[in-house]
Amino acid sequence: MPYQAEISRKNPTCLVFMIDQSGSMADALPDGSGLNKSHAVADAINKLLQNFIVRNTATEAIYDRFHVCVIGYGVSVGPAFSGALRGEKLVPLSLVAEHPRMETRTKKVPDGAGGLVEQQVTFPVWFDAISCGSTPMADAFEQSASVVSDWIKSHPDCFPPIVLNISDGEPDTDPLRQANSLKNLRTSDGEVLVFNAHVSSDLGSPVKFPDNDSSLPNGNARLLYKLSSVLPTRMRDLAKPEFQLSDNARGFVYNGELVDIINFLDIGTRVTAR
Amino acid sequence: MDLRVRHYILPKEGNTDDECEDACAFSQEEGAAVWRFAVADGATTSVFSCYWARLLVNSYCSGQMQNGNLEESLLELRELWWEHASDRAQKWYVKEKIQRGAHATLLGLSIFASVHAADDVSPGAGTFSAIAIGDACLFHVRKDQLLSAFPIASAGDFSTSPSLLSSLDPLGNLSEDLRQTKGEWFPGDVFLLMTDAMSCWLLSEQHERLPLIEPNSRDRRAFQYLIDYFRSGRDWSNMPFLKNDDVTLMRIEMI
Repeated sequence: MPYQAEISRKNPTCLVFMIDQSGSMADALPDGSGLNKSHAVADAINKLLQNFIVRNTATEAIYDRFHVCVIGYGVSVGPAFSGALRGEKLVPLSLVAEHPRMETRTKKVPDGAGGLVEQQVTFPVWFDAISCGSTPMADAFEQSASVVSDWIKSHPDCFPPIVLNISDGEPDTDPLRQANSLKNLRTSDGEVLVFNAHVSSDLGSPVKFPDNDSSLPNGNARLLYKLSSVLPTRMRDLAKPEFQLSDNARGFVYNGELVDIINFLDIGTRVTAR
Repeated sequence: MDLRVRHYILPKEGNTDDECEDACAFSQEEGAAVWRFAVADGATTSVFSCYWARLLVNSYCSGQMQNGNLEESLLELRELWWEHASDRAQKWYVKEKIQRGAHATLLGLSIFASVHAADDVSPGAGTFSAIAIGDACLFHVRKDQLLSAFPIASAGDFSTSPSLLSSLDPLGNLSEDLRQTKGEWFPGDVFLLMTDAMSCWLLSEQHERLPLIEPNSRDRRAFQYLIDYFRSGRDWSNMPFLKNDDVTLMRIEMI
């Protein structure tokens, strides 16, 4: 049975985030929050990395069960970590944990008497919002395939690498060939998992984790659906208490709101609890 | 009351002894009228959970959790855990993680000498009582037969989310999660306390596996061999016979 390999320091796997940084990501989200899409996605990835690091923190160290790659695509295609990790392609989680830029942000928390009070919190940032250029998604899939292929050569028995692609628009060119090359890479535990999330540009019902393409409105949506892997049972089971997912649910969200993107990242990375 | 105790703790394969998050302890009350044994399994998903597990087993074995003092003991332990963890949390991610607390299962067994047994106890018998929160199990064995398994009696009843005692809110679901049992023992009986991975392994094939524990519980090397053997073996669905997890066994033979 595939997707059973234990993810451990001895047998780690890799996570690749592909982030659309094209000009249209500067548009505001339609939810009235005032956030633009690139900032919302950057916050979602930073929050995910933060949670991911905390989840993998064992008493006084981080277990390197995961190595992380962030590839941005817009004006150019390449590694998208900012700060001390700029230019780094694939970084062990413990190193990611050591090099955030700490920002102070304000959040509202319950005051215990039914109201809210503002509280200063530190927010680790590894990835900044960028929105410029076109949508070279095909090139980004190709770069991901190169990173993943190198990884598999040295980790042939690992839990298959997971690639999460977040975009708001139509790719410049058809990414089918490059995405399929990536999906066809495999370890002894199964094929690489490719999940896609499309960020909403207008108000409309999102399609979340579908098991067929009948409700998808256009060819581009159906293409991204086709490029998305079925969620392995283990991921689905871990997500079950909170999400209703059918047996053939794919790692795909169309026209998603911010909360859908956060859930998408959360479900697509739920593989640690063993 | 005479008894013979052997106990083993092995870390998950790939981890060092220091990284093992199981804990076990035992103690003898003055006069040998009561022996106490406890095992706890700290959750890998939390920090300083081994310290929390150790606090729990030591507290049980000191007798502090007896006579309805469980809740009060847990509140004291929570303060000790917080002091320990906050003193050591330097990095941002550790500081953040201690806010989520540590979690552990707990199984405690108290064995009482026959001389203290009440009138309604069988002649020659002593008594025992046990508490459990979560899926560490107690097995009572007589003449190589499993008499009872507590609190889980079937391999299919283990889940990935057992009840846990939290260092932050130890009283959260305590009344719902606490299981209790009691019974009689006779000389020659054996009690086995195990954390979840080995408990599940035993219950999967108890008739074949119960006899395996006996010869392999004589020294650590033989025990390690047994565990390695079943960790590496696969069933029809390619799942290991024994989940790769920390393993604790306490074997108590009543003489």
